[in-house]
Amino acid sequence: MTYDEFREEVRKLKEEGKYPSLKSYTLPALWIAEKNFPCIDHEVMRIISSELGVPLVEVEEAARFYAMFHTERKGKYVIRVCTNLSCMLNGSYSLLEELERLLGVKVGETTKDGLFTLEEYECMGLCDGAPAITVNEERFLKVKKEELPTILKKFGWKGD
Amino acid sequence: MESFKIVIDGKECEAFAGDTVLEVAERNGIVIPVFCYHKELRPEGACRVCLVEVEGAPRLVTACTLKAMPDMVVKTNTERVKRARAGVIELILNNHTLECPICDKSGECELQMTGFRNGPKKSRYREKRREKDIVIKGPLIEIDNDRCILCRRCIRMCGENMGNRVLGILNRGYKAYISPFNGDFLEGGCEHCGSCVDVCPVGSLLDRAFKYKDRPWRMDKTWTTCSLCGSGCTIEVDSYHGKVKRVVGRIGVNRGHNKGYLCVRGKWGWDIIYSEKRLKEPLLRQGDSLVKVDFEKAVEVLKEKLEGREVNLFLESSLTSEELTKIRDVFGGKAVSDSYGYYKLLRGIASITGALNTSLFSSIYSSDVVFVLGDFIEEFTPVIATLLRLAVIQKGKRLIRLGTFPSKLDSVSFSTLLVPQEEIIDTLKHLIVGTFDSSYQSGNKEIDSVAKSLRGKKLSFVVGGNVPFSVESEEIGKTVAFLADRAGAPLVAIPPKANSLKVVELFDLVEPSNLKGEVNVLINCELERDFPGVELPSADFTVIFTPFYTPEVSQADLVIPIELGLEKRGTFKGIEGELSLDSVLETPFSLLEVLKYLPSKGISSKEKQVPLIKEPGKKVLHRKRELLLTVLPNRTGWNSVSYYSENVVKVSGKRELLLNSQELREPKLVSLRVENKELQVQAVPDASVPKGHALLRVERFTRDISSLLRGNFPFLSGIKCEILEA
Repeated sequence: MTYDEFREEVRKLKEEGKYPSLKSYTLPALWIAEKNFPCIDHEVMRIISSELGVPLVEVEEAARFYAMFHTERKGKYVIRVCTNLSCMLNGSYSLLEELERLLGVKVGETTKDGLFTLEEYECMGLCDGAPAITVNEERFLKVKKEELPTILKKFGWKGD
Repeated sequence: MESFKIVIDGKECEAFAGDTVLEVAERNGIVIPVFCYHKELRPEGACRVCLVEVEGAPRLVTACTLKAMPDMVVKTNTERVKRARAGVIELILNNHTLECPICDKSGECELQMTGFRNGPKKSRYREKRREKDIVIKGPLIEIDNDRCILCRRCIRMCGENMGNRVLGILNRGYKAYISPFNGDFLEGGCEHCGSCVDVCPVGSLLDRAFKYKDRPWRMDKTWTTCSLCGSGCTIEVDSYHGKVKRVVGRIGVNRGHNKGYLCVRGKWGWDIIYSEKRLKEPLLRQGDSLVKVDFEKAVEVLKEKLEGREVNLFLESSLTSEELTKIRDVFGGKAVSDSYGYYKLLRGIASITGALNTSLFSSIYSSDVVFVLGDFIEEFTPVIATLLRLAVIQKGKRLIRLGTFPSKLDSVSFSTLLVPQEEIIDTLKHLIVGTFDSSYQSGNKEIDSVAKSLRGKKLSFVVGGNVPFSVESEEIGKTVAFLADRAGAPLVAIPPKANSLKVVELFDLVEPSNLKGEVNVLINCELERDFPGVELPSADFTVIFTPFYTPEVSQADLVIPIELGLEKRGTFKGIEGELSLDSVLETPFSLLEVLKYLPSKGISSKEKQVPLIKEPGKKVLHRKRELLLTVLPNRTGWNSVSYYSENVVKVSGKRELLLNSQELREPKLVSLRVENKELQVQAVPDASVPKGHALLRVERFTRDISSLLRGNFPFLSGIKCEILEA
């Protein structure tokens, strides 16, 4: 997506007229950016600020506050491993270690080919399927260590 | 208002509905330590250092957010409270760097003071201290995030009180830090008012011009009045061994009408007194060049040249009342002054009220609705704009503004009437009828609704910004005074310069063409800045009294250095009555000292009479296809502050011509034409400029601007112009 296209998208969003104040469109606009750009950079924030009439720093505050938004370059697929209580008790830390080993990156880092970003995450509401991981918006429940290479291969992982 | 009693620490205190326990305690001399609370800010209840015990409440409560209620019994120094307080301070100090020996705030730091008074004796914390190591360096402000205790005072000050919202908290929880957007103050729209630095309770927000310069406890603190615009702000000048180190406003402590709020000129413009362009010795013309002479020689020449001659007096209006009185005594009462436009405005007002004067600014606080007339109040007198904003958000006044250009004040105003410049007087006339006659229909819904909101209310009027420089200033004065008079309301005319009111009171102000003297005397002026479009009349001899090497020094025969506002003692006649100036600085030259050697003309003072007419003004602006030009000095450039100050120049604006985006599609170089004069200037489309208007923002009035405006003195606004392809 180019910046001009993004500006158009934000304008379309405004025309929907869902919310009484323009400021309320900040998060929906950031979501569009999150899905279409490798990261939410300052230029994106400038566009949102000028379209919505929100002070620049308020857009940056929102983008930097929420863990779902990436202000630094992320991979094509973001792997999120839940480490809250249910998942942790069911062995999510060993999943995390295994993923680190398979991908060759530390938590919070992106693989060299720009395909995967590995993140440790708070509760995603998937406690019934603990330990749970999500890859972008696809979820995997009751994940076992041995299943991980299969899951990764689904997204184009080159390793074995 | 009805009061009731509450008991704090066994003392019976009087409280009113809406008071917080902290406010009641403060009034009664009971000290409760605070961090996030500030008198001028909305309570936040974040730091929890003001915890108190209330009888009947199970837990401790924060005094800053707790509303006082009848028969409440509060204890502020029980063992339980002291332990909780020490615990809170211990937590804050855990991650606070121990930089007091090199921190500029040390000595006046609230954390230091509260820590010593209420903190724990020692810390139980053994872990490694968090080091964020994020330092954000702006041109004038620096944020050291390791020292920050995240009280959010700066953010509330910037976003709510000043209405800018430049600072924000980035990241979350343990990693949270204060920063402007992208770490860039200028892009975020920072006006550099310095209020965030002032309210910071620790040394996190720093004044870069003061960094590592001196220690707070050993400086001489002098309260004086800023002379850089008509707001007349009270400021504290901190100096050491006769050298100014910084200027602070002390928001919440300052007793002046500005309550401690400052602008970029007041806060950082003090270094004009150490400018390289400062004049240090008298200069005398010998042949083609100016040579340095001593003081005695200069006075001797001055006396000889002035004896029995009539002078053309050019007067700038930041001189003290004492100096002005002496000047009139020595040079006579006829003068050309940069307050001429303001004089016209006051003359218009006086034709209704009978007095060449303005109401006190504080009179707006006893009204319900404040009617503001004028654009760019935030550029000419930034602090007045801040005070108007605060009247709305702190005191609940309704603000109604009539003007041509959008303003920052519009975000808090109850309603804003934006009309083309030539319709201001007509709009006022509609309001005059509509305010007192509910059946009147002006044909414009907006005007009718404003008239309705003025009807039957306790009103006050504020006229300022560029109105004194408008072609219609006198007629606007008449019309708005007529409206105020009928409503029985106070009318405040904001002077553009510090002592404009005294100049108007003492001198007969005339058009420059009426000067027929033999000697030109310029006092404190800069010809192009104060008298744009005026040529120095030809004379036998030209004397310039100036603190700086101004461009017209080269045309002078005798130049005598004088002192600047911060170096003077005396008074100003400002919008809040008499404002006093004090100083501990010593200067080798003084204007009053020189004038002492000149013989008195013995002019008796007489009250100026303005004939009472009691009629609203007449419209003078008519136009067909021309654009109306407004020349606006940037906030930093007013009074040439950015030209002389090394601090302010870092945040100065630029020269550009703003046009409506329908009249100009993209930025380009155009030629601006006024009558037969032209100026090449970069034009930029701007949606906020209304159609049919052109806004020329200038950082400094230079020769080319002055020649563009030839013959228009004292006007800067409402000048007919054309835009041609360059």
